[in-house]
Amino acid sequence: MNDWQDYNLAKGGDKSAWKRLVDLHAQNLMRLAGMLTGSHDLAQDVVQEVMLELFRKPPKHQNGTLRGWLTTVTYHTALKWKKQYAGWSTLGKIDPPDVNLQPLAKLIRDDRNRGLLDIIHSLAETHREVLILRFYGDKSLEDIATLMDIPLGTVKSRLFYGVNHCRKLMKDKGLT
Amino acid sequence: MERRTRHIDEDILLKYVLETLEPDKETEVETHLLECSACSHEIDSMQSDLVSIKALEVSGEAPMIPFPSTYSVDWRMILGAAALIILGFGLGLLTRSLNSTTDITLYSMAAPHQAITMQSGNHSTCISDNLNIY
Repeated sequence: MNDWQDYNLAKGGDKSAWKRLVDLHAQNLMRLAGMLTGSHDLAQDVVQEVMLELFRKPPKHQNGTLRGWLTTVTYHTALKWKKQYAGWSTLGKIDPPDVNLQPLAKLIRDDRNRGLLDIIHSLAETHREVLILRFYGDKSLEDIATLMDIPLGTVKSRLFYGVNHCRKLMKDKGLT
Repeated sequence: MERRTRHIDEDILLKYVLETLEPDKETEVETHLLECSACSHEIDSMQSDLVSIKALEVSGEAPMIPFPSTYSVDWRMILGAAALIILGFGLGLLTRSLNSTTDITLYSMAAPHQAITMQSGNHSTCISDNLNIY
């Protein structure tokens, strides 16, 4: 049974189908949202919002995969919320809605994973986003071009520079 | 023993691994890899790095996401409310229309000339017709 079927069942009120959907997608979306926002708490909020969007603003068609739809919405929501949060933080006088956002890096106990995360977050934002969408969102190069509204050639070059930079730093830090 | 001494540029190899090379260059690389163990070894190393990057485990607990039944109930309520408003509006129009007809009849019966001066447009035509009958 594919996940669109589960989605359609869930829309009809099937709670076990909804649970299957959450079990299948929430963890992957957490990783994607976490990588994009750099915050565990913000990632949780993003994932919750995205899953509920399925009911509030249902996909217009079911041509692609549900995972594709979810990762696209997660990308947009994560960037929007990250920007909003940065805006609140820089206002200074106004407290953001949740001042105790847990940085993602603090949750990672494994040195190797933390090292890799630092490396990826040291990339230029444009390179990082392409790398994250490719490796953690399972997006094709063409999909990334559409999503980010940039030429396919730019996607390829950003991915190349991002990975190349990561490899050099991994070698320097002994993570290869 | 290696027959070829010239190796493929590292950047080209990485692009090959990332599947961002043009198809003709891809074939060129693949042909070379069949004969060059050094470049094949470099490819293995790149792929291993990519596996490490992809395997990065950073996510904490996914949030508890309850079944969003409230949203479907909300939609039903909204549709119900909309239907009630439309029904109410329709009833209002109907009542107004009935009152208007009653007024015309009363005016016509009581003071036909006055009725003509008080109405306009289609109504006045209608009243004139009534007057003709009377």
